[in-house]
Amino acid sequence: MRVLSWTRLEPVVLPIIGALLVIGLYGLLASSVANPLVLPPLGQIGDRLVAIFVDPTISVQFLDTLMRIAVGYVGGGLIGVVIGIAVGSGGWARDVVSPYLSFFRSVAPIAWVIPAAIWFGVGTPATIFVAGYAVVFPVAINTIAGLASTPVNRMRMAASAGAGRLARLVRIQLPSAAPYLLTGFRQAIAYAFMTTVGAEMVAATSGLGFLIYDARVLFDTGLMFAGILVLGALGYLADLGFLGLRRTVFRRFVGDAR
Amino acid sequence: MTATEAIARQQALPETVRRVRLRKALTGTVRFLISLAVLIGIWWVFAVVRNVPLLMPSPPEVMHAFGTLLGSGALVEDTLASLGRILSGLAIGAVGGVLLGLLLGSSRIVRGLLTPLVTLFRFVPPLAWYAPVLAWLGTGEESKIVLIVYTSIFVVAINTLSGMGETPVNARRMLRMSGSSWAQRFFLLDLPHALPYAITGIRIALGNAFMTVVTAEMLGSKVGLGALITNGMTTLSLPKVFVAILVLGVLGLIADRLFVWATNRFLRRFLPWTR
Repeated sequence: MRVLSWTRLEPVVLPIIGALLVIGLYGLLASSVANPLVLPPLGQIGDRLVAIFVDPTISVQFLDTLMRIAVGYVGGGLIGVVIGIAVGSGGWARDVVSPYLSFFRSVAPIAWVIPAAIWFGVGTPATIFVAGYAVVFPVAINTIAGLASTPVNRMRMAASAGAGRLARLVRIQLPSAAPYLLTGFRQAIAYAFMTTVGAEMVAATSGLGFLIYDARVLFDTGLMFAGILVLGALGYLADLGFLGLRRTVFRRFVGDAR
Repeated sequence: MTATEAIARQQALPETVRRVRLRKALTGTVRFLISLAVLIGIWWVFAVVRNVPLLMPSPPEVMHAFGTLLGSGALVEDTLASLGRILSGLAIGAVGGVLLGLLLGSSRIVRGLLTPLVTLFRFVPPLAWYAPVLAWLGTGEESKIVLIVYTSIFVVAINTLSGMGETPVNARRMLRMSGSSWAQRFFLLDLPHALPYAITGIRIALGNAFMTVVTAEMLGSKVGLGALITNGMTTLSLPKVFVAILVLGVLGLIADRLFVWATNRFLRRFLPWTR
C-alpha cells in the first residue's frame, strides 16, 4: 500500500513546480534584460513586498484599499438584493426598473468616477461609490434569476397554507434564491477589486491602485510588481474566504455541498 | 369537431397568445416611458433648483453637448476609437482564451503547472497592469489592446475549461471503445461541449472589455470615450461626461444584445438551451 501515490501528490506538486518554473524563468529574463525599469530583479520585488506590509506609509495604502472594497461591497450588495427583489417579484416594479438595470449595467462603473468625485468628493467617497455601483449588478441579476427559479409548487403550497406575499418572499422565495445570491456575491468580489483599483488610479491619492500608478512616476517598477502580487493574493484570499463561508455558514443553501 | 375546425382552433390559439403578449409588452413600454419622463423631470427640476451647472448639468445642457460633439465629428471619432480597441482586444482574447482553455483541459500536467499563474492573474485587475504595460509598450494603441486581451483571455479560458469538464463520460467511453484517435475525440466530443461555455465566457469578456477600455483611455489617450470623460473633467464640462456615459451605456447594451442575437442565429447547433 503506497500512501504517497502520484495521483495524490500531483495536484500539490505540479503547481509548486509551475510556480518555481515561472519565478525561475522570470529571474533569468530579468537578469538577461538587466534593466530594472522594464523588469525589476526578484530581490527588488521582494524588498518592496516586505515594505508594503512593514513600512507604515505604504501599509496605510493597503488598508485604505481594503476598507473601500469592503464598504463598497457590502453597500452595493445590499442595494443589489433590494433591486433584485423589487424586479424579481414582478408587477410594475419590473417594468419600471429593469430597463434601467440593463442600461446602467452596460455603463462601465469607472465612467462614473468623475461625476462621483465631483458630487461626493475625490478619494474614498468616489471610490466606494464606484465599487458599490459595480457590485449592484451581478448581485441584482443573480437575485432576479434566483427568485424566478423558485419551484412553482412550493409557492402554491405556501399560498394555500395561508402565507401572504411577504411571508412567501421571505420564507420560500429568498431561501430558494440563496444559491444564486451566493453566486452573485462571489462574482461581485472580483468586480469590487477591479473597479476599486481603477478608481484609485484615476481619482484617489491613496490606496494600492494609486500606489501602483504612482510608482510609474517614480520609476519604481519593483513596487508596481509587489502591488500587483499583493492584489492577486488578496483577491485569491477573498475568494477562498467566500468559498469557506459558503461551505460553513451558508451550507444549507448550497446544493452541491450536501 | 371536424378536422377543419380543429385546425382552425389550433391556428386561433397562437393569435390570442400573441395578443396577450402584445398587451403585456405595451403596458411594459408605457410604464417604462412614464417612469423615464418622471426621471428626466426630477433630474431637470433638481438641476434647475440647484442651479450649479458645474455640478449637475440639466437635460437640455447634455442634449446641447451631445449635438455639439456629434456635429464636430468628435463623438463619432471617439466612439470608433473605443470600439476598435474593444473589438481587436476581444478578438485576440477570445481566440487565445479558447486555445488556452482547450490546452488546460486536455493536459493534466499543463493544467497543474499553470494553475498558480492562472489563479494569481484571475484576481489581478487589468488596470493594475496599466503602469507596467506603459513601461513595456509605451502609450500607443498596443498597451490598451493588451489590457483588453488580458481582461478577456482568462474568463474565456476558465469557461472553456469548465465546459471540457462537462463532457458525458459514456460518450467518451464509447469513442474510446470504437478506437477513435485523440484528435477525433477532441473534435467530436471536447470541442463541441466546450463551445457553449466558451461563448458564455466571451459574453462576459465583452462586458469586461467595455469596462477596461474606459479606464485605459482615461489614464492616457487623446481619443476614445474614456478620454472624453477625463477631458470633460479637466475642462470642467460635466455635460460632456454625461454624453460619454450615455453613449457607453447604449453601446454596451447594443453590443450585448447583438452578441446574444448572433450566437443564437449562427451558432445555434452548439447551444444546448436553444434546442
